Amino acid sequence: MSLSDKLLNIQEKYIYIVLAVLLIFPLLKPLGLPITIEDITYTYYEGIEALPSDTLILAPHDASTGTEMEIGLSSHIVIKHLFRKGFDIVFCTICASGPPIFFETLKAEGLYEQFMDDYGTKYVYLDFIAGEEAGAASIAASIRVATGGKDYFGNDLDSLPLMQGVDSGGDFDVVVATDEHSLLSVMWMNQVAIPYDIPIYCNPLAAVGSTFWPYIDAGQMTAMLIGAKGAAGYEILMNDPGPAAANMDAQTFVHVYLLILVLGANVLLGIKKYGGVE
Amino acid sequence: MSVTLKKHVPIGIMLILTIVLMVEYFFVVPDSYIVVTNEAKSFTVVIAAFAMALGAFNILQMHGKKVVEKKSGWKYSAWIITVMVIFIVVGLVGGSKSYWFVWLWECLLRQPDATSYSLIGFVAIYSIYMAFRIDSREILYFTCIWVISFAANAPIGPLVFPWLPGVQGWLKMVPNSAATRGFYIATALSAIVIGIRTLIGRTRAGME
Repeated sequence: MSLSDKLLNIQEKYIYIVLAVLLIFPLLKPLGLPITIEDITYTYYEGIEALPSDTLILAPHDASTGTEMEIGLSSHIVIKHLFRKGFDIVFCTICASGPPIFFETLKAEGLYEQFMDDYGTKYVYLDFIAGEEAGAASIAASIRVATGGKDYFGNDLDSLPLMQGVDSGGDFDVVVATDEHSLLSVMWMNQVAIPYDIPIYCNPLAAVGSTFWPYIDAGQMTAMLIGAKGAAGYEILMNDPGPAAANMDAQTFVHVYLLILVLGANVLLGIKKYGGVE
Repeated sequence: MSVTLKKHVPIGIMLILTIVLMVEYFFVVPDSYIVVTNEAKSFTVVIAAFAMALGAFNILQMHGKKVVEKKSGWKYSAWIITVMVIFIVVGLVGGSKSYWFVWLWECLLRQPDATSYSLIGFVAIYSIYMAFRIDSREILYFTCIWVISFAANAPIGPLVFPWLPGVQGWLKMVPNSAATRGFYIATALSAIVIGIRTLIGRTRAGME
């Protein structure tokens, strides 16, 4: 077998070993490579920044354990931003793994005490609503009917000051779907943002971000943070570089590695085919 | 069970609910009508909650049979049932906010799930390396677009090649949006056709 054949049919374990090194090395010793911020990340940040502090936000936090490693980065920084701006926020989820991840997010960002101190006046957590899109439709129609009139802690919604006069999707000013489950944010767009004509901000996985562009183009979705890169840009805009920005060195290394692999393999194929080299 | 109970009653319920909910979505209706539709939507949430219990029962039935008959991979089925029973018992006894339930969730579900999802990245990279071998015109186009998008997505990409975001932006907003819209419209039309066929009793896929 010629050298080019060996390289073209390299065993996957060698690809994985190099990949692991390229991932681990920059995490242990960050290089601080420059990061570019996408225009859509600016749109997201500036949109949230421009909202007045008395804005009432519906924030579905549909967290999933599988995708948390990627989109969790953007949901963390966005929730931090929402708390920093002092908005009134009603959190909820249509994802079964949502509640525990939501409270862990608050604890990880040091926001849990603030959340509990201002609970009922500035923040409310509605708990998990089953049925995915039907659940979102149910919340959009009537929060009290969808939840049985109780929040996550078993409080009567009517006893919470923030919930006075708030019952349907139309009572909110903005939807910020700090989503870790990508397609669920489309359900919030379908059931809340479009019928009640309110802006919606979403955080899709990088792998499905491309499928959200038609919504942005049509104005149905206001802005989105795409994957870890979007989160890293957002951290930089907030002057609060964190785990997403720290991961960007590894992401750069892996992107370059894969480009070299694919382009290198095709160059070898081309040489083999047209150069007559064995 | 008679045909009426098995076929006509479910179709009748679906037909009525579909019309009621569609009227509310597309037209301005009085508040009394909205009260009815809200109740219908809350039924969906309740039914979805019941569906979870049904799912648990199905797992028990399917994997239980496998364990009893000692079919291939029965040990994995036994493990699924064991974990499910532990989760249900701990959840019912201590509640979903209890220390032990959260511990189980963290150790048995969350970390393995995150790990298996992360491993996809490794497999994807090897698959891309093997798949993007240009041996036809179609793969050539596909690889060129992939290289541009991938390089633009690399955090350092646009700094090295400042023209990349412009090209990537055009790819995203024009061909990508056009193709995705086509896909969405086709999917929506298909859903409408399946819905109509189900409502008139020509398709029973969703009811079996």
